[in-house]
Amino acid sequence: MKTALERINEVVSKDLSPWKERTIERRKKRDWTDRSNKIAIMILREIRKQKPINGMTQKKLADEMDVTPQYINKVVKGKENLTLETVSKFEEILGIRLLEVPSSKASPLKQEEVIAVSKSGAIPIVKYELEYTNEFLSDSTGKYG
Amino acid sequence: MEIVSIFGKRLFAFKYPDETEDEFSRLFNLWNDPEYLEEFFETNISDLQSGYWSNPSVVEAVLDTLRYAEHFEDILFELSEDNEDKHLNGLESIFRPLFDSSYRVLKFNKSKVRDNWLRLYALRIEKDVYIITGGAIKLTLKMQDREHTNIELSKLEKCKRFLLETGIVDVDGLIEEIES
Repeated sequence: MKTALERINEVVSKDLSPWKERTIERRKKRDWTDRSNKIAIMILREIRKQKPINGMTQKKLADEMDVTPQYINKVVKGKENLTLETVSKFEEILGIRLLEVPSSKASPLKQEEVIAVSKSGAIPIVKYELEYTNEFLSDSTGKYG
Repeated sequence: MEIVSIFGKRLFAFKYPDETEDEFSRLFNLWNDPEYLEEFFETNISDLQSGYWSNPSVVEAVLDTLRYAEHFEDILFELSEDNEDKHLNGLESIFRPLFDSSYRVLKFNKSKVRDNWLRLYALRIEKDVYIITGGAIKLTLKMQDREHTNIELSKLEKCKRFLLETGIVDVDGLIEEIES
C-alpha cells in the first residue's frame, strides 16, 4: 500500500516553487535593499501623510517626477537600486530628507542626523538607521566596499 | 488546487486556483514587500498597538517584519541546502502543533512555524512530511479574532478535505492510526 508521501509525489506539480530562486536573488541584493526598503517606507509614509493635504498618491508623485507609476511602484517595493539624482528628486518633491552622509568619517553619526525629517515632523526610524550606520562605519569585513 | 514542491522531498505547499504562486512563495514575497507591509500595519494599527506586542509604530513594524522574514528565510534556506536527513530534523524542530493534544496523535497535525508575528501554517501529513496551506501576520491572541487569520483556519480545513477527497490521505488509515 502506498504511503501518503508516495501519493503526494504522484500528483505534485512538475514546476518547483519559485521560492528558493527568489531567496537567492534577495540574499544577493541585501546590501542595498536594506536601504532601499527604508527609503520605500519613508516615501510611503510621506505619501500617506500628504494625501489628505495635497492629494499625493503614487500616480501624482510619478507625474511630478516625470516617471511612470510603475517606476514609483518599484521604488516603494524597495526593488529599485536608486541613484543619488533620483533620491534628490524624491526629497525635493516630497519635502523630506531621505539620505544623510556623515560629515566626518571618524565620528559616528548623532541621532538627530539620521532622523528622516519631513515638513510635518520626524519619522521614528532612528534606531534602525543607527544600527545600520554603525555597521556601515565599522565595516571591518569590507562588505560595503 | 495544486501541490507544489518547495525543496527536498518532504516539504510542499498548496497553490490555490485564484493565486499565481504557491502559498510559501507568495507569503515570502509579501513579507519582503514594504508597500504591502505598510498598508497591512496601517489597516491593522489598532491590533498592532493593542499591547499584545510592544506597541510598535507602523514604521517599526514594517522594519521588524522585513528582518523577521529575512531571518526566517535564512533558516529555511540553510535547511534547503542541507542533505535530506538534516532537512527532516530541521523541519520537525521548527513546525509545532497548532492546537494541543488530539492533533498530536492524529495523522493530520496542524502545524506552524513560529517567528514572532509571522506564521506559516501547514498540515503534517505523516512524520516529517508537511504541506504549507498559508500563513499570516498574527497580531492577536486567537486566530479566530480576525478575518485575515480566521481565513487561514478555513484554508487548513479546506486543504484537509482536499487531501481526503483526492485519496492522498486515507480516512481508514487515519482511524487505524488513531486506534493503534
